[in-house]
Amino acid sequence: MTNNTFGTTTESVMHRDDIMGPGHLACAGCGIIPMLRLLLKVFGRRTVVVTPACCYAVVDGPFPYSAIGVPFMHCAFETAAASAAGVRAAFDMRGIPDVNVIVLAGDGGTFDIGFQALSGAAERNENIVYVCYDNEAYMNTGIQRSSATPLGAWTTTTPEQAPKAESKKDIGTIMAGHRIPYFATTSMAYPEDMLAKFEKAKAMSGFRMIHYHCSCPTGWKADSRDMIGLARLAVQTRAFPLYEILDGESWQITVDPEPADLQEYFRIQGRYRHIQPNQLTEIERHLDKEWKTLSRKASAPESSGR
Amino acid sequence: MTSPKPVAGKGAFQDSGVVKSVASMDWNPTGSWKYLEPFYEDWFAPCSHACPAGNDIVTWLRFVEEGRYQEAARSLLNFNPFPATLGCVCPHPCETPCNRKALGGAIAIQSVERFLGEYAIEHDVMPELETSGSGRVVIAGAGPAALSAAYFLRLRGYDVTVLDRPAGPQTGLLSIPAFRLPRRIVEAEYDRLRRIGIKFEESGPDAPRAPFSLNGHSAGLVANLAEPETEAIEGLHHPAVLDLVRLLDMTRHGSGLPSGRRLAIAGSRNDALDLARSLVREGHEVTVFCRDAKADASFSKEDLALAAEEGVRVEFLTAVCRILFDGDRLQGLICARTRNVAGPVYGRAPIRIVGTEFTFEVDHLVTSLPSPKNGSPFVDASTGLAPVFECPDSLDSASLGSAVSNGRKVAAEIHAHLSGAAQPAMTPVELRGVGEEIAKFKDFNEAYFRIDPGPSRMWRDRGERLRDFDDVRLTLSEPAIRREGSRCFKCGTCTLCGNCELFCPDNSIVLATDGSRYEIRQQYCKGCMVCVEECPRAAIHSRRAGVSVETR
Ligand code: SF4
Ligand code: SF4
Ligand code: SF4
Repeated sequence: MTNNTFGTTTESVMHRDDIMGPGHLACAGCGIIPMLRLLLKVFGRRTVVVTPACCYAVVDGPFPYSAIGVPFMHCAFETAAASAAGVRAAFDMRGIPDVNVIVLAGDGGTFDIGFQALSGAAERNENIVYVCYDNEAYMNTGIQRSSATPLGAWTTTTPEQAPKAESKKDIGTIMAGHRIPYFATTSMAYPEDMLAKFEKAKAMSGFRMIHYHCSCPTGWKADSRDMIGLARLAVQTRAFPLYEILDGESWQITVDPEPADLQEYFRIQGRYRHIQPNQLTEIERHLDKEWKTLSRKASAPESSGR
Repeated sequence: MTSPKPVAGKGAFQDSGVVKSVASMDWNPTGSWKYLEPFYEDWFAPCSHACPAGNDIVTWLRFVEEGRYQEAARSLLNFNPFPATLGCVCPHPCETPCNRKALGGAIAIQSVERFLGEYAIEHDVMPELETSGSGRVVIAGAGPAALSAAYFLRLRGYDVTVLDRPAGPQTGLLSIPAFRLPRRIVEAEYDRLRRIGIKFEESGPDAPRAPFSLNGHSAGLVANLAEPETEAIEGLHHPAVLDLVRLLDMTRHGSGLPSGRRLAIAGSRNDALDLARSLVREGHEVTVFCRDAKADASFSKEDLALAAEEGVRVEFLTAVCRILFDGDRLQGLICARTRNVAGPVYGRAPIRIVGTEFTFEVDHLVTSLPSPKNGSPFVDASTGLAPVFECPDSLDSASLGSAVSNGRKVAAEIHAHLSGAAQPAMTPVELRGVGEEIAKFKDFNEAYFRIDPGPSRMWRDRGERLRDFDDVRLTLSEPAIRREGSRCFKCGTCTLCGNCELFCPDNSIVLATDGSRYEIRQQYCKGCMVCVEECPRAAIHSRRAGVSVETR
């Protein structure tokens, strides 16, 4: 019997000691932190986190302070996966195999600037866990578009008169093309699903990638109190489906959510305020198509609910 | 803010010797950023707010959800002497505002209460007895409020004597027909009063009219029974006019019933319906004349529907004006339609509409007759120096819940007086320290609740019902009761569901060391209000910051 809203996995992980501490510099409502806290609770203290330029690089605190509670390495923007591979190699050489090496990078450092390092490390099947927290733009440098910015969204470089005309890069398919052992999308609104994926990734070795949909009150121009609601609506509207890919070939949709209105998701975000009905229809059509493609690749969902 | 000197090796990972110096950020009081702050406060569940007995419904439903019936029954009994009885006869106003209505139907609260009441009877669950009070209290009257006061005083440790008419606590609950309130239930709940040590004394053949003495007692309580209102009908003294209370008593014993077949009952309380339903079971043809409009009558809606189904005719906005008789034989009634006139002069008095008179043929008329037997006891104040308290009481089954509350309130007053302690009369919900606000569905986060249909109320088949005086209701099974526990939202009540802790982006919410509640580290909370938004049931709220921001 558990009182926990989500289930026994969430409850048992929450009961573990906190590794990450308070006092960090994230904006109120930031989506990185609750995910990171759980990630660390799952992976434990024997973990090194490697972070390129991104929000979290700032959020963690100025050297020599750090909120994360484990060794933290800040590397250059384009080098996260390569740096993590190096840390792993160093541990291996010193005969310390039991340390988890985790990359924590934003979408810019993953989809764009860090892409060649990511691709290289994935292709070599480096024994690391790559966590991309995707807030769908370069937020901490002033909300510039990235290739993870969704179709139709406002950023400072895709202004309302000319919102982003391209759709979000399909990083899952790209990583599947690298035939990595594990790729999974996660959302804070579905912690039971997310934690199961963390545990799964932890139990494996080789290149594992977690793609986390990270709410951002600042960049999405939304009320901080809606951050979990937005994460939930993104999954429900299929703007951010939850699925996993094993060995690049076995696709599985892990949450088949109750559907929600895309308009509801857009309504509470300033970055979609300019959206006209025809654009909304266009985006809906696009998301439908993406979902169909995903469903085709995936077998029927095994689990549903959060 | 000043950052402390980093402490070598304070961070994690010292054991591997790889990293020497990581200092945490917890010196940084990010709580100073906020302009809103969250705070925990349980709010009133609408069910409890509407419950006339003041039941802490959420608390027992939480136990029920986990199958912890013993604890559920005990938490109920600690504040309620008659749970099984109320579970049978209360018109359950608690279910009307139930927030679950929005997603599948109100929780069957009354059925759960009855289940727990019967569980207590069957498994001999007893309330907790305290010993904080000492002294002897005498109570005149044995109506439901009197018995409730006796119960709560006894639970406080007082020596309590109830003065009653001969042959025990007859008045009140026993007059409710067995098809609404099975005899064994009310008897078991009366018996529990004796078993916790309340003494019953007969106060003489004329009692409770005779004065009683306060000698040797620390306090006395007089529980006045509300006199049933007598209708202004010409010719009430006629022998074919029968007293409602008396006849209800006779139907219980099945003797001395009227010989005529056609009966009219004039009354607008639930006992009129009780009697009508008893008499149709005895083969009579019964019409109830109610002066009030349907919405104003104090009939329970459920009983009204059942009565109609069983063949009782109810004429609303109709008054009996005059009785036509021919010697000993009643020929008929002159009735008139009424309408309600609102206003300072009339109150909500129904007045007869001139010209609407009609004749109605019957063999008997039944109504509440003025009777000294129904009167209230009084105290002989000259016999002692002890203070005497008063408390209203009523035999109306629809107000049994209020009677329980009234008894609890006056018991608290007596206890406060005798113990010298300031003792506000609080309901169990208030004792839990809930705020004044009522938790409404609009305050909830709907994402956490699904449509989940509730059980429908089930009655025995009409034909079968009319053949006997057995319980008309089909009770819910144990699994169905337990499901009601999980269907309940626990409105306004923190269930430690963990959402606020889980989602807090500032690691600001921590479980108290005893695990009983969450606490907010305001020095770190940036005021995002994610916790308030994601609380499923409005147990955490926001207010303007600055009240308690600490920077260590
Ligand atoms: S859902 Fe539960 S707590 Fe809320 S009003 Fe209904 S019974 Fe009461
Ligand atoms: S979620 Fe945390 S930071 Fe946000 S208001 Fe609640 S306690 Fe404060
Ligand atoms: S979110 Fe859950 S744990 Fe937090 S206050 Fe609400 S009910 Fe309690």
